[in-house]
Amino acid sequence: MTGGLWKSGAPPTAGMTVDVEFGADGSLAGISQVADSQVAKEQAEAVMHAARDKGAAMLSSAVASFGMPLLVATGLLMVSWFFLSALSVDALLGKASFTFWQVLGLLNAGNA
Amino acid sequence: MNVVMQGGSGPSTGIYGFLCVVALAGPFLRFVWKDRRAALGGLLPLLFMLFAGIMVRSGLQSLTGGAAAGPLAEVQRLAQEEMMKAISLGVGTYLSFAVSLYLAAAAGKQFLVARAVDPDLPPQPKPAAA
Repeated sequence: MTGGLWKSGAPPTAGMTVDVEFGADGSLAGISQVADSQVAKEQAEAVMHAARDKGAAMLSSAVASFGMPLLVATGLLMVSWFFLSALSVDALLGKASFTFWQVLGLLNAGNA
Repeated sequence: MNVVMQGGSGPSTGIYGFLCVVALAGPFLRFVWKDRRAALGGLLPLLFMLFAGIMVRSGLQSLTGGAAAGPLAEVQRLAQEEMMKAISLGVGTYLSFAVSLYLAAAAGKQFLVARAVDPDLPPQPKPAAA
């Protein structure tokens, strides 16, 4: 049925994902199978693209609502509280660093 | 949130962790509470940092015992000095303090602007003459 148009090694089957090539005059130039891995990759790219678009939309919405300075300041505050070293203690066995969040944990435990 | 932040290790932050999250949300208060005082929520990160700093300092001082008298007072003072020498502030403290100062200044400015443009503001009480 596909005549000389089929360009893949595997025979065509129902439900197979294919690439269709058209010639300059608009006629069918060739049909080839698309590998499952390629399909999965393209689907993942589509999902990533959609997520990126949604994230960008949410970010622009947040910027419009709260303003960039407040968002940046809050982000910096979160990074410095939760990830950067707030206190360092030089002990006999070496230097120990604690984030602000860990210091709060020590305070709550009554160790500070 | 505790589990996420601690990665499943370390002591629970308890009420301090809750206050920390509240302080972090403070600058956003004015977006949900339409009152000019809501702008003061921006002061919360700075106030919370000062509160935590005071708590840490008093906790460290209590480690060396209460106030001693006589010759023990000198020993205690030296022990406290040595302990404070061993402790240094990290970049997180400086950065968060600077950001908290910025948020507090912005909050104060917004509050003052809101007061200036609000016609329903009650009159300022005048200080009593001596």
